[in-house]
Amino acid sequence: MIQAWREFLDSWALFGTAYLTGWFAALLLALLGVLVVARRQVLIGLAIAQASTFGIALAIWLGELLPSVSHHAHHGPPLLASIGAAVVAAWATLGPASRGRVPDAVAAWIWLACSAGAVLLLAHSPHGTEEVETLMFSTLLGADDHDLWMFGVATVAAITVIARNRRALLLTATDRETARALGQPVDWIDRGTAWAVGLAVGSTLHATGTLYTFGCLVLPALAARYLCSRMVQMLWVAPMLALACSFAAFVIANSADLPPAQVAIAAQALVLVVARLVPLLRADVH
Amino acid sequence: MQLPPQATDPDEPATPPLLELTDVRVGRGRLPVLDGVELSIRAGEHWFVVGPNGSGKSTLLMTALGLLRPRHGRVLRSPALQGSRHVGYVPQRVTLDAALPTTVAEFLALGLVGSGVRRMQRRVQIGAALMLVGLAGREARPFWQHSEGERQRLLLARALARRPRLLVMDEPTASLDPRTAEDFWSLVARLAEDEELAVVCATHDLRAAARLATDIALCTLPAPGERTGGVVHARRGGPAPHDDYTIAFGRAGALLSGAETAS
Repeated sequence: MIQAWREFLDSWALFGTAYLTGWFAALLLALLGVLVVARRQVLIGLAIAQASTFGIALAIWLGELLPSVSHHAHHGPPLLASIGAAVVAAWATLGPASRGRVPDAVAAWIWLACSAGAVLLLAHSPHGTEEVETLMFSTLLGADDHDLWMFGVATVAAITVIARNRRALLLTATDRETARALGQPVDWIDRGTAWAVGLAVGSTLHATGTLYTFGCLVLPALAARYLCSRMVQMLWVAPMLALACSFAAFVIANSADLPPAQVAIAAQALVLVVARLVPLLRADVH
Repeated sequence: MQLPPQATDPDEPATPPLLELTDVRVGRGRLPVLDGVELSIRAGEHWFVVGPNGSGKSTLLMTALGLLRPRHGRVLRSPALQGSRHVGYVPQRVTLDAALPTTVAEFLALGLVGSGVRRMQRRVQIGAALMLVGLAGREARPFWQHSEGERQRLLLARALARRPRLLVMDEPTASLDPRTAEDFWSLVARLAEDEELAVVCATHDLRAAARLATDIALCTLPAPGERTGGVVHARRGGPAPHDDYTIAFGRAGALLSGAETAS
């Protein structure tokens, strides 16, 4: 264990930025994930992540079609397209216009259409399919200083806004009718949530890939449901679980030469199973 | 529909209305639903909004809550309501996901959103509201350990925690068995009297309406050739409306309550 820790510290000079980016992304996504889980719209996270992948594929395709459009592998059009597609998908599934639709049906359509679309767009691209596959299976180590700053600022902003409005957000997520009756600006809260989730998923996916993004969005919040006695507690327990899993995962991944995003998500999935047992054990004790 | 008089003094000077709808036309989407609505709701009054499905009961409640703007006429809300601060709302049922953890205290605290109540005061108001509904001391208990009837009382407590002057309820007993519903109505009637609340309640429970209402707003479906329905107001002890539909509806209510036999 000490050896693993030493190796991890040694790797800091090379991967420190990627680690920090991964932790900030985990915090940000897990925090927003509580709102997604509270709305019973878990699959929407997957749909938004896939839409974001489609956005990147579209940017690459356009870049090949129109050489004047830069398709720098990391920033510029792909980042904007990733965020733009994620925001559109989030708007369709979480925004005010989503009312009256079946969330799972919309999420399924977005996921299927964007999965097929991304592959088809890049079917004849020399490196396109490979790039999309890399994104889908996560590429945490490619993050740079730009990503770190972006996630740092976004995480602090999200914590501030959610901490100040936590009850209004939770009431709107769980009981829209009452929230509206009590004078809460439900449509604006929906718009804000859609923008926040779209921006976070779009920018995170671009830096970390689908698996890490979707995993951090839903797994910590799902686990927190079993560990907390109140919804408000989930708002800090979920980010802490995400951070702890990502921290341990990066140390283990570095030592065992494994892909860090996959180790982090496997750890979160394990935590969810263990957390599920906690209420059962409590019930036995009582 | 003529309701039997209650023990209230008709000569007593009327308090200013908390909510007043004057010649209101409202609708959903492009379609108007209700037209010519005239209501004046005061503290201590217990309004039951009744009528068949699709007649505009929920539309009327949404208008009362300020969620629907009238297309014609005006809706005046008393400054005593301070916007929505002193408005309580009880929905038909709990929509919270049962997989989400929550305590009774947290559930009630969510209902205080936008009320401007600070932390210490929040505890006091939650405790007082639980006492009013007969569930004192349950703050730390998991919400989902309560029965359906208790959860409905907790919904009522959540509304009462705001110390409302106007309490709006949308079919609050729809998911309850008759006996639990009866207990719920008795509780609401007692609270309305003790707390001087104005209660506006949409329901299909004509028995409760005939027994407890000071006023009934009967939402009517559009007459043949008409596009909108209307609202017929009947006041306990007041003159009876004359149209056949309202009389038939009133008889049904009276029969259910045992207050009157059909002639």
